[in-house]
Amino acid sequence: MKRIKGVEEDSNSSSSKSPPEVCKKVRKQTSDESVAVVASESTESDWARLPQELLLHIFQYLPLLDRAYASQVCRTWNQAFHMPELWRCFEFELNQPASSYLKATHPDLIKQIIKRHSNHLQYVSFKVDSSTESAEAACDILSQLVNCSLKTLGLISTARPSFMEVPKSHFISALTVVFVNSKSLSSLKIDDTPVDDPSLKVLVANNSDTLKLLKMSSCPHVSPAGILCVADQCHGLRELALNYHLLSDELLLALSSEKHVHLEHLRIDVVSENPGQHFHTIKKSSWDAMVRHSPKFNLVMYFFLYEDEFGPFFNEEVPVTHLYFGRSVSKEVLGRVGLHCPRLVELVVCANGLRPLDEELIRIAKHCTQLSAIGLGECEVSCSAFVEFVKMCGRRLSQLSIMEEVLIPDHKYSLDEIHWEVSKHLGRVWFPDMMPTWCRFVTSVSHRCLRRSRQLPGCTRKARTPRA
Amino acid sequence: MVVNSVHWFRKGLRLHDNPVLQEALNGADTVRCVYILDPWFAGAANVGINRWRFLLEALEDLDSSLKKLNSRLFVVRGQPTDVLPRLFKEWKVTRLTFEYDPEPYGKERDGAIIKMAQEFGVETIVRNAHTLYNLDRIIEANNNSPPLTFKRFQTIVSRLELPRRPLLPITQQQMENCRTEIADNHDQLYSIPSLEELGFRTVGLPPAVWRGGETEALDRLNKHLDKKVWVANFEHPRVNTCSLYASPTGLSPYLRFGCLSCRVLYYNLRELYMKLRKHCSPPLSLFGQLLWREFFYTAATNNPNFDRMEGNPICVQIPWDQNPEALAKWAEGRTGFPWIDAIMTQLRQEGWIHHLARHAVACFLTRGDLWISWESGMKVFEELLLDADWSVNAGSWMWLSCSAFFQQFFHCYCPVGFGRRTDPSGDYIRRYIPILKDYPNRYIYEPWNAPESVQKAAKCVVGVDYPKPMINHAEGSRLNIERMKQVYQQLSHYRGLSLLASVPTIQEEAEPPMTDESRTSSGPDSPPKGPADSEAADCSTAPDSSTVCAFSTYSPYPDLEGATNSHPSQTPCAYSVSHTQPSAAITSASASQALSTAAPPSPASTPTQSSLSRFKPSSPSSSCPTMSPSLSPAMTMTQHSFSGQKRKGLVSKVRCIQRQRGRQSCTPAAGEVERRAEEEEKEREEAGLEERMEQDVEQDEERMEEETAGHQQ
Repeated sequence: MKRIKGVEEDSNSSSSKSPPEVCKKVRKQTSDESVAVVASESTESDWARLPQELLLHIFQYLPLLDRAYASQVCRTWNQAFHMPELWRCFEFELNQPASSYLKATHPDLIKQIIKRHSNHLQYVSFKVDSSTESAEAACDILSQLVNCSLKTLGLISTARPSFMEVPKSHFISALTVVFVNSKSLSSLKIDDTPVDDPSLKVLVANNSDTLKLLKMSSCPHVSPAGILCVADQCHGLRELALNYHLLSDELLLALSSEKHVHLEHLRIDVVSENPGQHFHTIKKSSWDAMVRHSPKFNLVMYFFLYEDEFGPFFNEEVPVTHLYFGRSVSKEVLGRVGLHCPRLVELVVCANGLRPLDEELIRIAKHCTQLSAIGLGECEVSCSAFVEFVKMCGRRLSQLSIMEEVLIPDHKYSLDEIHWEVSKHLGRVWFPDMMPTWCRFVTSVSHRCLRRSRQLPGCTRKARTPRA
Repeated sequence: MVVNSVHWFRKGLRLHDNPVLQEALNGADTVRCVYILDPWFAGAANVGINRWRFLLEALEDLDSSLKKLNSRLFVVRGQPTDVLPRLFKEWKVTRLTFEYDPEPYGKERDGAIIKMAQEFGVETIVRNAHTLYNLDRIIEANNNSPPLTFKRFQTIVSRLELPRRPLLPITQQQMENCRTEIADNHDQLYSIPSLEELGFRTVGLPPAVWRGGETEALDRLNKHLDKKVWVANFEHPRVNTCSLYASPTGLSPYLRFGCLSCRVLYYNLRELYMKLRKHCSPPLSLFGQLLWREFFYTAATNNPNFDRMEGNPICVQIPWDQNPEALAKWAEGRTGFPWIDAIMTQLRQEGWIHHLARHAVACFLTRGDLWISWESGMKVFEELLLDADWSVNAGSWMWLSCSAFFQQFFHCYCPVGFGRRTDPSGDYIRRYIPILKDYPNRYIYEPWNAPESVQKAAKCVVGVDYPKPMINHAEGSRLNIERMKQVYQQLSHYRGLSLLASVPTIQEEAEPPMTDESRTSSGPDSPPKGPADSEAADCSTAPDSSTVCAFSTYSPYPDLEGATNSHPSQTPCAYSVSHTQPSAAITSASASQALSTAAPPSPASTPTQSSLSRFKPSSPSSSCPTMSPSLSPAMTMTQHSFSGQKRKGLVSKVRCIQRQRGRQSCTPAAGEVERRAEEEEKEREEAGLEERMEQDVEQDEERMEEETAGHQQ
């Protein structure tokens, strides 16, 4: 009796984050059960009398190791341990002690899962560290999943991607085992892997009705034709992530064909492999077709380019919603962003040149009426332009992040004043981001300070003015 | 009764502003100044030659200053626990004095020493002089936990009284009263060891860039007490090429070893500022750099695991890579990125690098490029950096690797662009990597991109004479920003597409009750609805794709987004979401943290939750499951404001009440008048009390409240 209560409490305390009705259900059943136990007054068979449904529920809250311990309590619990519901999802963690601080899934457990539960698996992910051994182990497991029907599969590199180092044929044959056998794959995340066109064809041939999500950023062996084949036949595809070199007008048109469901997310990584790389352009008409077909779709673009590689981008309207510039980007390009990205929701700029971004920000505030999040790293902005920008965007700016050291004080606002001026317009307390100065304690005349005072004669940084 | 004092120097290697040394002298018949070091241990410890040299020079300086006072420094070889009992007996010690060490390791060691001294009937006196403030008071003022944002820290500090004024150096007369006979064989018994004795090879050792010792520290300080630029620079440090080089006026190593008292620096700055600015009280930002030091000391003082990821309650668990080969390349300056290599070379040669240079190499090693744990980097800094305080070093590394203190992580320093922006000419590179000296400016930050003819002309072919870049920065930062996002989304339970929203908001930051204010001003009868509500409704920007491909309704889903967390016992999921959301599998917008959220925190996680649980997941759906997932963090803001109110000091509480009263009982105009009067009074107060901190964050906030309220009226 006591022990049952203990279980109940455990499950309650640990399920406190679950919706109330679930808790109630558990509690109700348990108390019913307790009554029954009291009535029978037996102790031996009590455990066995917990209904499977309830056991299952409790077990779901337990980590695998605890479930394994619990399974040694009695036969019923042992049976419960093996209930298919508990094995629908599994995350294989494959790490080598030499390359990772992380624990790994025990090989015996892996064996047991393949032997007893592979047909129950539906949601499977592999977290793999940076060693080739781990990636190969993942491929070995994949190739043994012959009698299962997976709905989701994720191959995740927690550190340097290691699947690229596995022999391509080995990887492909393992992956196609899953593609061929599952037939109902809905979500597939295979970023940074050597997946290729023929294997995508196998995927499409077996899972075209069910595929909804495909993430394959940085898969160098896939060609634009390969991904086009997926888009052509998987009409339920709603989320797609890929690199820019796979993006084509045809792909966008295929995704916006009448048979195709509305796209929800499209994530594009634009990565430069070597400096001066040439990038193709996407026609405005293709983007227009996309927006017409899926008016609410999010276009997330991450740029990792050299400054001089931006030529083909942002010359015409792009329906981008989330924009990230991982490297320095010129004032000119940001000016074009202000003109051609009317759907922009989030803009993150890691760095730009030394000239302040003032007009560009104002332009962005004016034209990007959806903008609600902005992050600026090494981008100099004058305080008054920044305040003006915030004022124009107002309270819709739910995320606003800028480094304190890039805000240039001017005749209107000092650094000390800007925080509350901005807060006023945002309607909430706001501070610029700070970096620790780590005990510098040196003296030097700053050329930037000098430059500034040259630019703005009569501008002296004053101590805080007394209140008006 | 005879009083025989021993003053034990550790840090605080100075005679000026040394309160506990004064205590040692106070009424004593004899005083001996002792430094204990273990030469056997020295060679093995993870401390580089430059740091040892600096320390030995500081000891020499101390000894020669004591000589002038007819005393000497006693350097005793061995471990404190062995040495001190011996000395107690030998010298018939009755009083032991040492400076308070706020770091966990030091506190533990000192606790044992105090206990042992008690057993010997020796009185111990400990005084704090290494930090400006009493750290425990800061923690106490912040509801018994160290502040986790610098702003919060500043607010707390601005409410404390000014740091204690520094004391004068000890005088000959003081020393005269407790003169101790110096034996003829003092130099044999208690001399300062040489680097050779510590096991270092000194052949070919270049002269020190930083000379250790109190004398040098005070020289440096006095050199520019008349310079206006100094103050301006302290206030808002800016960078240029020159600041990358070791400055003849840099002070940080002297603070680290206590050759310079931080209080002396503090009051020097303060007085200089007031002289220049006509008696204005200086803003807190003037002391920014000193305060950062205090900030990290405060964060570390009760956290013995502050220097590691595991078991450190404020540290985010990030699945760093283990890669000794890459780490060695970074540490030895062989990354193939001249900017990074030059910095690491300067660090190794001179023991100091500019703080932005620190940012650059730390970012490169951790979240920027190599994805190697900050702990490894911290150890390298500890070995090489003259000014590496345990707390400041670990804290800064956590900060820069975005492992704690939750700042935005989107900003990665580019190992090419950042250097070029700081020093367009590349002269810094040429100085520390002479092999690249003939490269044209255009390619000096990226020699691998130079045409072969240029490489040959510069007599340095990449891949032969200088390494190729060890990583493709574009590709590396693409991967790493994704990983950081995964880690942070798991913490914040945010599932949308926004990168910026992935960072959890820290509860303590959302302090000032703006919304609270406006609620009050809208009258007692109005429904409790702050402006943030309407605001929240407006910014439903993050699309919720949880409908994309829902599977079963109750089972936990595999976490396909999260590259995450292998230490589930440390996952801070105190506020986890549970499975209210029939969420999709690996949709970008929904799946992030499936397993760890659906599963309850394991019992093992409870001890670590306490501190991280204060970070409020920025997604409101996690804090109140009934809310629409589209609500923005602004909502959380409103909730926080109430708890923030509690923390306000008594004075401000009173002020607050007054204002509210004024607003509710009077007509708006009358309220306005009353507020004016109050403000004027405040101004008078400020003018009168010079000691008051000018830059009071809280005041600012109140000012803002008033302003807003004014608008609404």
